[in-house]
Amino acid sequence: MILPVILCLLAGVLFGALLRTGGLIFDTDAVTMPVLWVLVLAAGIDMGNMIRKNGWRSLLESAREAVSALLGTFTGTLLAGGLAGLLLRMTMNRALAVSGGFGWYTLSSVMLSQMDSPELGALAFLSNVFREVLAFLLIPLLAKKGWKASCISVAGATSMDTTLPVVSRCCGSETAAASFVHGLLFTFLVPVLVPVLYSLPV
Amino acid sequence: MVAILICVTLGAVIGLLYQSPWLQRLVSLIQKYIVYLLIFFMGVGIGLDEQLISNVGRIGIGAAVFAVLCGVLSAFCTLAFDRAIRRGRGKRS
Repeated sequence: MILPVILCLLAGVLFGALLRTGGLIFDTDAVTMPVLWVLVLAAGIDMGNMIRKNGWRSLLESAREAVSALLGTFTGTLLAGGLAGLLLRMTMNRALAVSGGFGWYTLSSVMLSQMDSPELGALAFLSNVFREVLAFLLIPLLAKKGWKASCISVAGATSMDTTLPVVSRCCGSETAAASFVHGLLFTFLVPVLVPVLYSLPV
Repeated sequence: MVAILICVTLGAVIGLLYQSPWLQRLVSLIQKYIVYLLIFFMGVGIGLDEQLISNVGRIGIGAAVFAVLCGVLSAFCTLAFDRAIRRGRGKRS
């Protein structure tokens, strides 16, 4: 799946750049959102079928994956933020706040632009966009290795929307249920965590 | 977010109440092909964003460092937690 993902993404970037240079205006959200809704609906049907087939216990079984992914995403992302801060010689609180977006680029970039500077907002935006792109590339590889919980954590907060269909396709409907819960929890956590991490006295 | 919640709940209800081979085939086809459409349009969004493209050169390396470290360390930490939880379960049973 990885090669078609790279090709589709590159073709999209190229097409977008061509549209931009041609001065054409195209509202991608108007197309992306309905496509995303259809995909999430399909993932939901898959989850419903899985529960009907295997019973509600199957949801409990996916709880282990959800818990591992939650703990792993939280620890791994903050460790990564600290390490990136050291490598890029940034203050620790700013670096942690950038990574604390957990892939939710629209929100974290706006918050950090207001709290700090447009420069830090742009860094948060770009790094979280890259994280989402990386998730599309890594999920098929991690799924092949059988690391299903890791597929969820790579995606961060996007595991409940944009990357959910990829998780569902590569790992199955049990992991998709865990992925949705994981993404939902981080969606609630990010608006709280970004200001908390930014205000840390480090 | 509300729309996503509605879609996943509606889907789960449909899946719980109605199960048929054609629906499973349709879901499988959607997940197999439409996902590429989503990725393509995500790329279009990136290509269209002038600010994002112009910032890639200036802060792109820093952003890539953040993204790669976050993705990779999250994956490995999750793997470690997953194995620890499985081991804990194994000992209990």
